[in-house]
Amino acid sequence: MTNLEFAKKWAETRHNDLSAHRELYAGAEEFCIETRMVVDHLGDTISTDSEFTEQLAIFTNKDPENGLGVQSVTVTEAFEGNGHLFFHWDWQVEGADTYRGFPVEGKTLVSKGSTFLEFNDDGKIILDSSFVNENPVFQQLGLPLITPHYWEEGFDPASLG
Amino acid sequence: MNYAFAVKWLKAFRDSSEAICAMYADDFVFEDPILDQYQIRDKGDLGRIFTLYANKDRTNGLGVHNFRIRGYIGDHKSGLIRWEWSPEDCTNFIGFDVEDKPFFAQGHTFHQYDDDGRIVRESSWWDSGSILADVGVPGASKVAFAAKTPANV
Repeated sequence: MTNLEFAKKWAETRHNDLSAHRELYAGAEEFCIETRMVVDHLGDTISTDSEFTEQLAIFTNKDPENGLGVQSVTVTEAFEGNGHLFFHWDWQVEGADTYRGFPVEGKTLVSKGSTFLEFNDDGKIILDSSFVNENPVFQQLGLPLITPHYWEEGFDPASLG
Repeated sequence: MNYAFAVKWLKAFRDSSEAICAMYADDFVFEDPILDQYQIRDKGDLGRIFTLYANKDRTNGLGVHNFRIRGYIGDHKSGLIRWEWSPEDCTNFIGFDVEDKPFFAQGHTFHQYDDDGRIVRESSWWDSGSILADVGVPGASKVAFAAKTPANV
């Protein structure tokens, strides 16, 4: 299996088969999964079997009516390292009622994300660090969020008003 | 690389765009998709990206950008720097008023290095969503998705 194939297997099992997904990771309390900012590891870091089951369940939701949204991920490229793997993915959510508190109003949300995986000597994941780019999502929801290209030669700060 | 390299990298942020640009190979790819920075390959563009982070003037609204390393995982060829960022004296962030509204974010940056230890590939990602709740954007919540309840069905 190439690392790109492993990344695709990670994405496929994360969103369709959490039992198979669990097999990719080391034993309980020998792995950490962090998918958002960590304010407190109790709640923000998944490291036990029960946290794995409870907190990753949302990724496998297939009910477009319950408000939680149906997520899908497509891995686009992978970078292999010594004992680690980093990859980029496209992300899509359909059927979410709200996102970060903002009404979705039937929109399909689209963005990109990345995941870093660190492996132990047995090839099991011991660290999973993931982030999704939320700014395009907020823009799709109509928030006045801007990302001016201030680094481009000739950019005029006055254009920001 | 290692923790010391990551600290050097972030100190160079604070020093000058010249200092940080010197840590990248001539042939490099820089990406920070959160700020819509894709496929940056020009040292001039890279320098203008980092000018913001070297700001030392607390009165111009650009903010002073404090960074801390959470850890480094990898080796001398590639790896992940995990960091957190807390700007001070910033008045506007991605279009929102943040004056006197403290916030911080965490992120990760993947690097690949050449044989001289210079960065040839960078991919940075961070949690911008939580910031909206921190600075009081109306309606913002820290929870990404919420199930429908009888009250909101």
